[in-house]
Formats: sequence, C-alpha cells, structure tokens
Amino acid sequence: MRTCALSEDILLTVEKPARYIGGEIGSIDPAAGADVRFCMCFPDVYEVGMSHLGIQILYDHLNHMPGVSCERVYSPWTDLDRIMRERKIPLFALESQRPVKDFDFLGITLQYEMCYTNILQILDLSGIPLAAADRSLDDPVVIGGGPCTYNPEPIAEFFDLFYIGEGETRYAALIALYRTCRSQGKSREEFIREAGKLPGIYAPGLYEPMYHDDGTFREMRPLYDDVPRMIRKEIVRDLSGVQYIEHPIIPFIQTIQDRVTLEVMRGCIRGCRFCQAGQVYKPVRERDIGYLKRAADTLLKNTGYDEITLSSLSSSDYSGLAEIVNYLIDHYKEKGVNISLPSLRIDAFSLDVMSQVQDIKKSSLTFAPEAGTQRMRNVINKGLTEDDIFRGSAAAFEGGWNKVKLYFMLGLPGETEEDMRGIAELADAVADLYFDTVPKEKRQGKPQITASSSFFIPKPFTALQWARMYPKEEYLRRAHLVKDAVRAAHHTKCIRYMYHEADVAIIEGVLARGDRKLSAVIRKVYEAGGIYDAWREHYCDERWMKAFSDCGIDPGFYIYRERPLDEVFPWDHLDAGVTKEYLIREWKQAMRAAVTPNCREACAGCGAASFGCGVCPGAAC
Amino acid sequence: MKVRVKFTKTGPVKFIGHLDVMRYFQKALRRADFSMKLTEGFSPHPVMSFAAPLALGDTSECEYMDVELLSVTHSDRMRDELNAVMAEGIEVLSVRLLPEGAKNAMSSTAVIDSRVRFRQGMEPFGRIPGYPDREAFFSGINDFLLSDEVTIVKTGKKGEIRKNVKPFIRSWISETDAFFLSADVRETFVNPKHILQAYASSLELDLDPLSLTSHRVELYTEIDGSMITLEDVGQVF
Ligand code: SF4
Ligand code: SF4
Repeated sequence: MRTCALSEDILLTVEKPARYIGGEIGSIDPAAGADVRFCMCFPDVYEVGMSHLGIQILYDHLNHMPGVSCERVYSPWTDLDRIMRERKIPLFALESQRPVKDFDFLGITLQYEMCYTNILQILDLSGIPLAAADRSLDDPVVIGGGPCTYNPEPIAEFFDLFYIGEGETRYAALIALYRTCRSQGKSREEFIREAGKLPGIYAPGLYEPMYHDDGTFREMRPLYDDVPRMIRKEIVRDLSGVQYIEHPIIPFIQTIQDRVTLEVMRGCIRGCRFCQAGQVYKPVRERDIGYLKRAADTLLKNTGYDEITLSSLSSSDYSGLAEIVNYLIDHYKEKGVNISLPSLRIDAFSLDVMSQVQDIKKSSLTFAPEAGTQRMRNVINKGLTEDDIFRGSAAAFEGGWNKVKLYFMLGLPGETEEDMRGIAELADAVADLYFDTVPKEKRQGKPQITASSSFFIPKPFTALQWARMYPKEEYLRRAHLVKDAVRAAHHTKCIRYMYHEADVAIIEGVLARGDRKLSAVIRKVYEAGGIYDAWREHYCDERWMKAFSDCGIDPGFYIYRERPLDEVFPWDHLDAGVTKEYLIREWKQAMRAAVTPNCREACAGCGAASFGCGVCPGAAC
Repeated sequence: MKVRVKFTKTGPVKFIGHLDVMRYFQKALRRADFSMKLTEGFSPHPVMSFAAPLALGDTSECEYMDVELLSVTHSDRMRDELNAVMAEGIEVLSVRLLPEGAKNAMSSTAVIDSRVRFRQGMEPFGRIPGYPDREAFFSGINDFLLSDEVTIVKTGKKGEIRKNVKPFIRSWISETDAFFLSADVRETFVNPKHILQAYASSLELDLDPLSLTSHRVELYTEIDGSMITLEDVGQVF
C-alpha cells in the first residue's frame, strides 16, 4: 500500500485532503524503474490543474518513453502551504509522494500570468533555489512550457529552460541529451548550454537583455556564439500521427473539467486581433475523423466518464463536426453519455445538437461578440456580426431557450463611448428579439440576458501587441458607463451586466508584455506573502504596488503607452510562426477597422505556412 | 434487478469523501461495462444506494453499494471485472443479487461493528501527561461500559447534545491496542469514537478526536429477528 508524505493529522485538518494523496486511476505506478524522473507541475490548486488537457497529454507522452517516469505536483492550497512552511515539509510529487527536489526535471506549465507567484511557491516549498543561477546539480532542471512562454521574460530568472511550442516533439531529444551529459559527468551549465541549442528550447540564462536609456528594450544578446539568436516554436505537424491519451488520470474529487476531453484540432482559422491563442497555435491542424471516433471509444471505455467534451479553440470550424457529433449521439446517448460542445458558433446545426444533448430550460447560449459595435468588431477582426447574433438568438428563442450570455471586452484600442454603449444596446436588442420571436402564450417568463465584460489586455504575438491600457479609474468609468446604459435600456429588467476586476487586469497586462526587470517585482510580491494571485480572494493590489515602488519600477511604462511600431520587444527573439511584418500589417488593418479574411477564405500570409502543414497553402500534411 | 457490492476502503483512499466514492463507483461501473439501469431525463445516471457514510479518514472492510442493473452474469466474474478497474485501497469483496423487495443498504443497516484505535504517531501514551499506559487505558474501558449509563456528547448544529447510548451497545471487546464495538444504529448513530472520548473524559483526560481512527468490520440488518450481514441478504449467482 502507498503511504502519504503528509501525516494523518495534517490530512485530516486540511481542506480536501484527496488533493494530496495521488493514486488516481490512470496515474502511474512510480515503483517501476526509471532513470530519468520528471515532475510535471501546474502551479495552481489540484482541481484547476487536473482539468488541464496539456498536462495529461505530456504526462502520457513522457510515461511512454522508455526509462522515463513522469509524476505530478500542484500548488498546495493556502491551508497546507502554511503547515508545510511551519513544519518544514518539502513539497512532494503525488505518485511517489517523494520530494520534488529529488527529480531530474521539474516542468511547470504557464497558462496565465497571475500564476507567477505560485511558481515561486512551488520552488520554495520544494527547497529549490528561486533563481536558476543559484541552483546546483542536486536541483532539478526547471523547465517552463505553455502560452506564457511566448513572453517568458518576467519569470526568466526562475527557469533553466523554456520549451516553446507543443511538447510532443522535443522532450525525447532533451531527455536523451540529459542522459548523455549525466553519463559524461557534465555540469549543469554544460547541459543547459547544449539544451539551448535544441530546436524549440530557450535557455534564458544564455542571453543577456540590453535596454535603451529610456528603459525600452534594445536586444536579447546571446552570451555565446553557438547559441541561437532566434528560438522557433515547435508544433506537431500531423496530429493524427501522434497517439492520443488512452488512460487519462481520473481524479477522485470533482475538478473543473470532470469529463473526457477530446481534442479535435489545434489552432484557429479566425485571427481575432486580440487573441494570442489564435496566433501562437497556428496553423490550424485537424485530427482525422476516424482517429477521433477511435479515441472517443477508447477514452469512454477506459474512464467510465458519462460526459465527453470536444475541445478546440473554435469547434464549429472543425470540418467533421457534424459527423463526430452524430457518431457520439448515435453510439452513446443511449448509454447516458452527455456531449458538451464549448466554443460552438450558434446556428441551426449547433442548436439542433444542443437540443438533443442538453436540458434547454437549464442551459444558456453563449455568444462572444467581444465588442458592442460593428466598427469595433472590425477593429478586432471578430467575424461575428450583429446579424449572426440575431439570427442565432432568434433560432434559439424559437427552440425554447431564454438564457443568453454575451461576452465583451472594454478598453479596446480606439474605443469610443458609442462602442461602450453598444454593449448595452446589443444586449437590449437581443432581449427585444425575444419578445418579437416568441408569442406571448409560449413565453417562459422573461429572457435572461447576461452581458459580461473583461478589460482588454494586449498580449505578445497578437496584432494588438502595440496597444495601450488604461488606469483603473478609466476602466471603471467605462464599466459604469455601460452599466448606466444597461440601466437606461428598454428591457433593463432582462439584462444583467457584470464586469471583471480592473486592478488584476493591470498587473496581468504588465506581466504579459514585461521584461526581465520584473522578476524582482514578482519575487518581492511572493516574499511579502503573495500566492494564488489568480484567485480574487488572495489577490492583493497593494502588495503589487508596493513591490513595484520598492523595485523602482513604474508599471505604467509597460502598459500606458502605445508602443511605436519600431520598438523591439523582449519576446522578439522568439519565433511563434507568425512574422512581425504580418502582425504590423494586421495592426494597421485594425487602425483602419478593416477585416482580414480567415485562413480558409484566404491566406493572410502570416508566416505559419513555413511549417508546411494544416490549413496553409502548399501544406504537405 | 439489484445487486449489492461489498468493498473495502483502506489506505490513502480513506481521505476521499463519501460523495466522491459515489462518483468513483459511477465511473467504475461503466469501466467494468456493467449494463446499468439509468434514470430518465437529460442527465441519466445509475440508480445507486450506499450504506451509512464513512467519516473522512476512517477505513472499512465492509462498505456496501446497491445498484440496479439490466443484466448480470456471475457473482465472481462480476467481482473480478470490478476489481480489474479499482484504485488501490478499494477492493470489491463480493457481488450478490438482492431478492425482490429487499430494503436498500442505506435504510436497512441496523448494527455496525467497528474497531477504534489511535492513529499512527498520535497515541497519547507516554506523550500526554496523566495517561495510563496503553494496556491500562484499554482495559479500563470495561468498567466504564459496565455502568448503566454511558453518556456521550455530540456537538451538532444545535450545540451540545448529551445522550445515554448504553441501550444501543450490543457488545464490546477491549483489546490490547483497540476498542471493538458492536452498536445498534437504528435509533441513533453510535460513534465508537464518542464512546472513547466519553471514557477519556471520565478519567479527566484530554482526547484529541483527530487522533482516533475507526475501522468498520461489518454491517448487519435485522431479518425475522436475527442479525445477518448486509452481504448475506444477497445471493451468489
Ligand atoms: S475565434 Fe478568435 S478568439 Fe476564438 S480562438 Fe479563434 S482567434 Fe481566438
Ligand atoms: S499562412 Fe495563411 S493559411 Fe497558414 S495560418 Fe497563416 S494566414 Fe492562415
């Protein structure tokens, strides 16, 4: 029988002790001999981290490699964090319950900027020096992956390596190199130097950032001649050529994604100008329909889940959607398996599907117009028109739905009060449509329209990466303007308006486009007790502001200026597949409120065709 | 048709709560490919019933779950099929067919046999002043339980509730390092930990409730005046 790293009295006092015991179905038996041990970390609480498909994919991938074992670790919740510090208990991996520090690699997935303090928590509780430069051969090689690696500079100090792009392609080579270096008795530095030459691997310690006098970035200078000047992202060219997970880990406790997740494709054809995922996962690569059917069968059988979700950035754009959905309905509806379809465009097909798999009375329809007016939607290249929304909603109301959710952003470049009020007007028009479409005798109470807005945060490798942000007061003014407009709307009783926090958006904005100088700030916040910044109840704005001022760093420098087109960015030495010329073209298009067609309508020449795969012209697979 | 599944819960999985065990079995039954009867509606789910929930951190060798199936094969085969998809610490001991009209596991439990001991590393002996040695402590329980009234204190929503549970104690054994209790739970749930606590406070000793762990040994139901195990209500098929 396995034993737990934590004593029983601790497990009995902390919330949800099952977060820390491991042993879930699908997790590996760490007893099996392995000469390279990898610990994969999602720096947030178990229920969040376990819901992430990417970790499951890599876990499976690494555990299939001969001689390699991969285990998991998540952030201990604040209650256990306190106990571990008091009693000096080292952080441990779930499978073997052995200290993280004893592993060869610690892989940390970077899904959102607000988890950065949790990275320090993980390192600190593990007893691994926070700064990569202070580590010795006894410490694991700390490697980061995931979307935030497209500008990892603010956390570069804490990492030995970053893996840029999709994990399935280079870990085998990295681990082989590790074995060689170890058998030749090479030092940690020598290994990292060699690793930094592998495609897709960025070793930040081998580069020195240079700045202009005004603080703007000048260049990322390689410290040695044999270190690559540019690091190009890795992608899987043929997604049907790699094996899908067969035995995902099934958590004992309820997590956010408590179902089978079937990834139907990667990338997105749409090129919305605010969206980082849309750019960095280019080009769109679909999985073969036969592959998906087989994977669905295997996964449902091996997990016993009663729900399957089709995952991708924009499932409606998957060309075999109808076929896979019908297959699932035909084969599994009888068996009580529910099918969930996030990120679907609302049209006749999706409504038909949803009416078969959901309880209409309870479910709501989601639209993401992202902006209140057509002009603004053109600026961000969001293809969704008012007409699409009206047609979709009318069909939905006729089908019996009366709950609609609308997602918007505030603070987009060139936003006017008309655009802000447009949010309320659009919500009002949708409510109006309900009364027009549904005859009195068929109405089930009022329509319930929920409009919510987040504040736009410019991200690296997007067409809007040059845009500025606004101070908190300005964001709140805009949100209140929308609120007042909702209050004055004709159907105000049918509309609920919500907006996200402005202070967190500002910090996220600074970190997203920040440089290496910010490491000091993150460290200060952590040292002042900051963890779980992604959780509203644990986020503390004063702590961040104090850290900025203690470090003599003005956060406004990173966000309150529109950056000139010739400014060099701290992430320009990374090659995400899309060229800067293309992004500049798109920025200019945005300023003209001109729309760019999606990848299937016409290739915009973004640069990703150089991978020679997917939707791009001239693709080989 | 309804089958009754008897299983253990030991080792680290004792830190999984009752609701999560239910969810675990919903998936396990699907993995084992049992043909389950599902409820109607938009989120069909199997019809299951579990016997008295086990407290988080306690162990058992006699957990019971009833589930409605559309077809069955053989007791042993179905037990093996379930065991092939179990997590460590949860072992299926038997699968039996319930007779038509049998009461479900939850409502029919009349008696619970369990054994309480101190958790590893949390024994008070030699650690907390005033405690007798282990043997004296456990053998002293006999005298305590022989009196006519055994008053336990439960802290519930309405504050402290005192109750004489002596009438519900069917038998007990004071072992060298544990206390075995057989209690009738139909009228009130008699928790053997509460009895040990009451005993300790009769000696004016502090007993940290977290330091005790209970291990369930068997559950019984009453049929025609005699106690038979929940397992034996069902038949091997
Ligand atoms: S549809 Fe737009 S927002 Fe959605 S993933 Fe694609 S590019 Fe991003
Ligand atoms: S190269 Fe063209 S088709 Fe390929 S991702 Fe870029 S814009 Fe789309």
